[in-house]
Amino acid sequence: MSPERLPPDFRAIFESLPGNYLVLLPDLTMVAVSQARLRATMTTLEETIGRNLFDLFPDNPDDPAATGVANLKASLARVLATRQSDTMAVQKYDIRRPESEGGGFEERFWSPMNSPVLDANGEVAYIIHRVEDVTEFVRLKQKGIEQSRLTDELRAQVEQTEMEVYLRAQELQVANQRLRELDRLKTEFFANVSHELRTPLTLILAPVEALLASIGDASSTAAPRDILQTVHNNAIRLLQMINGLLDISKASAGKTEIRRETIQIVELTQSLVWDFRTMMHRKSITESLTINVPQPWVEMDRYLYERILFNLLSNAVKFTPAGGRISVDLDVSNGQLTLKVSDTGIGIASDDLPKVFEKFHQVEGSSTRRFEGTGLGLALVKEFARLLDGTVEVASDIGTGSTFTLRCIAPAAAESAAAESATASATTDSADLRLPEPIVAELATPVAEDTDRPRIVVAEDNVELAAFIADLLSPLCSVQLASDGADALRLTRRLRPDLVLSDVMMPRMDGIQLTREIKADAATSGIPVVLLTAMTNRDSLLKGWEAGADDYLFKPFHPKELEARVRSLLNAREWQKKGEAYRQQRDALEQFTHIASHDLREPLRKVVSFVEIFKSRNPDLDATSARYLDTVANGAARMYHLLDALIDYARIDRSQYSPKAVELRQIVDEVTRDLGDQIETAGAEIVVGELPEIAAHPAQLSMLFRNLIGNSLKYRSETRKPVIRVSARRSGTEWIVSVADNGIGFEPEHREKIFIMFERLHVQERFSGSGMGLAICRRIIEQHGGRMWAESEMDRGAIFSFSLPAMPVPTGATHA
Amino acid sequence: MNGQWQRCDIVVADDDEGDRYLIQKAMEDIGVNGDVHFFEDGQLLVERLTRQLTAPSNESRLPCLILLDLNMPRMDGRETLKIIKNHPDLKEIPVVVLTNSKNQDDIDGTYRNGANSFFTKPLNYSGLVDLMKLLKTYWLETVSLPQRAV
Repeated sequence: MSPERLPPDFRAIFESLPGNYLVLLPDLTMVAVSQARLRATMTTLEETIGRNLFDLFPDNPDDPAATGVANLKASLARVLATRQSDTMAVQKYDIRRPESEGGGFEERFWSPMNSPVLDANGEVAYIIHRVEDVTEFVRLKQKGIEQSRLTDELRAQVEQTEMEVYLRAQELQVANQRLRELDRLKTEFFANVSHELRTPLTLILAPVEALLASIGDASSTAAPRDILQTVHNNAIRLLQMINGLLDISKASAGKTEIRRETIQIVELTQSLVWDFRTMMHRKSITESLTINVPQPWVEMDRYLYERILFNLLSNAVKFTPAGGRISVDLDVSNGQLTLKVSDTGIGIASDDLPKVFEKFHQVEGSSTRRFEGTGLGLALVKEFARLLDGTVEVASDIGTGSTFTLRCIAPAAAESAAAESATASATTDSADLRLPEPIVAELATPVAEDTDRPRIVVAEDNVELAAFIADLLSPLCSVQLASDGADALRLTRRLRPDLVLSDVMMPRMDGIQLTREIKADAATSGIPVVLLTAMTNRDSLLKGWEAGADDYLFKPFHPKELEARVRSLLNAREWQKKGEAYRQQRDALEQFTHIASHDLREPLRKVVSFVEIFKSRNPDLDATSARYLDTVANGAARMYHLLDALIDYARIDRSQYSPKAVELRQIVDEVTRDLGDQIETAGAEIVVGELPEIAAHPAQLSMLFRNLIGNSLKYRSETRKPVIRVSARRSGTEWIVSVADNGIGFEPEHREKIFIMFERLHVQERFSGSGMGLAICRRIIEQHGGRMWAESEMDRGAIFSFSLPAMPVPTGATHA
Repeated sequence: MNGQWQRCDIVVADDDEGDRYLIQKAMEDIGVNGDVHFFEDGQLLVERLTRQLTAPSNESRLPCLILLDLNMPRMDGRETLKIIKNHPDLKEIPVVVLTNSKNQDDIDGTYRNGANSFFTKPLNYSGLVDLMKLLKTYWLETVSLPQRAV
């Protein structure tokens, strides 16, 4: 047994601590001090102990701006009042130089922290004042050019990062709002497009069906019926396309809900294949259905399964030539469903195989064939397979045919197979539980795989410190721990966290190298990296910046500081991710519009053309039939113009041409010339005031004025001679351009509503139009960095105004 | 499609059955001198054109006009156009693009690759008839064509 030891000499230990420590009584009398601090402040133990802090450390009388004393007093007062630690910002607090060293004051910078030591009653017994001497660091920062270019870059980067973090935190809110707005717009847009396209479609379908029924078999010749049938087929195609487009946009917007119910999978599959038999037989296609399903009752979303099989079958029928063969194979075993649809069709080139499931990859003007065949229908299949937690694959040889395979879970519904389905889910579970190996410490509160929470990877080889950090941050985010740089890199690549917090000194791979690796990989370079380092280690500081570290945290850090820093970086990161989501959503919206408008045009053209041919072949049609045909033609024309407007709308910010100097006057003159007929019919007068030269896309501005002037002509008053005034005035750095009319106007409360797509304030019959004109105008102006608004009162005319940035000082190179 | 080509034949490559019908009917309505031959995709067209080149000289006539759709399976119109306009013996044939697309990139791209005209298919049948008249007047009755076409 070891002999009884004396208690440790705490004073000696304290005094020899490497840090700068000073212990104060609540009345600010100094009672203990570390040697390091004595050295740093050029003072002695004797002159310190028993003296008041500020007697020994007054402000530098030669520095009238000195705030060291005042700030430190305030901090100490806070500690006494709150009984909590108080971290101060970096302070300039000059130190009196001993007479032996020349006297006067020496410029010094400190990073202080004051912590209370409480007695048994919870009262402050002592205050520990700890400081870091950061003079050298600050001087380095201040020295400027000749000292080191690196320092300048360092400072710039620090400032920039801080500013960005601050700004991003602010913008996060704005971005969130924009995203919500866009989401709403998208949903509304799809709903509106659906409604707008379906209405004229009804006008096409219903009369054609009525005509087909009336002609019946009694028709004199078969030919007119064929033509009408073609019209009908094309209208049905349109309807299917629109339904398909809406299906897929709903699916990708996550609006399709999964409803698993108990279904008889064999019967369902048979009946769907049966539905296609007529169509197959017409093309002399033979079909075969192979079923290997020991237990036909399964849990499955009926709608999704039906849509998948429907689309695979229509795809197969479309691409299989006459005399070909289509086989359907269904296998359900161990809760796993495999559905194969094979054809002897034209096949798909291997280069195109990866593309067949993409919905929006097609360039503008993609063909109907692609749209229906391997475009939308298959994109839908993929989307729906994903919703079923399944996959869909394709194998194909040119000229031989293709095989599409759907694999998804289909748990048996009856009890006999319950055990099997349990095994199935157990396997899934264990797959989910394959956690990253290098975790060295479990979180205090285990966090479920929660995708909504931000994730951070902490690389720290000190297990206790790592656990401490995890504890501290787990209320903010889900924390994954790595024991060294290599583990952290692996985790970062796998998890794509929102933040990496790393120690600098670590075995295997240090924090600097880790930063370099993360920043070098495009997939991870956007993830902010925060390095934990000792402030005094300037070398690693600079290396870290060079490697691309986003921020530093100096050890030892205050928990609050860590929390605040992480919180603000996570905010910034969230903003960044929101920005990406916003862009993606905007692109999807545009592409949807584009594909929709281009592909729908083709069947529509057929409807219009064949109606025309039918009419010309049947000159002596009865009045009712003739009226039906006119209804069809009108519906089609309305749809066609809507599609054109949609294309215009989608085209606005896809313009790849850079803006150039444009004389607005010239644009307005061109537009009024183009609208000549309409202006004459309306008996309108166009008054154009002085207009500026502006940097813009001429074609877009032309579209803008065409819409605005056309709008004013359309909504003219029947009792007044229409007068439309185009004018501009300068306001600061922008021009305000107005188009004012004396038409029927609108209620002031509708002044925002009119810019929303498909919002019509007036009865359809009287005013035709796509309902997109003003939405297009506003988008054009926003694209040019301006704003657009409208003012009106019922029957008092309307004023549409927009702002456009004024051109910078003329370069002198303007030409007509 | 296997018959011998006559003077001033027109060939059309379009995958859409309805469009082929409409074009044929429009040609009938306005009356064109030569025959109109239809192909369902670019590959069939290119195969026939190259076969034409190796035929005995008295049968190796080329069409005086090609109407080309852009979006077709197997070989689309863009690819077909490139092949024709890069072929030393085929590039003289005028190619008119007649497509559903209104896209500026398509317009720019096809002219860059040597197309002689670009038209978006009209909405209605009478528009198509007008367009065919225009093509007939210009290509078949006004311009002078390369020797092997006439």
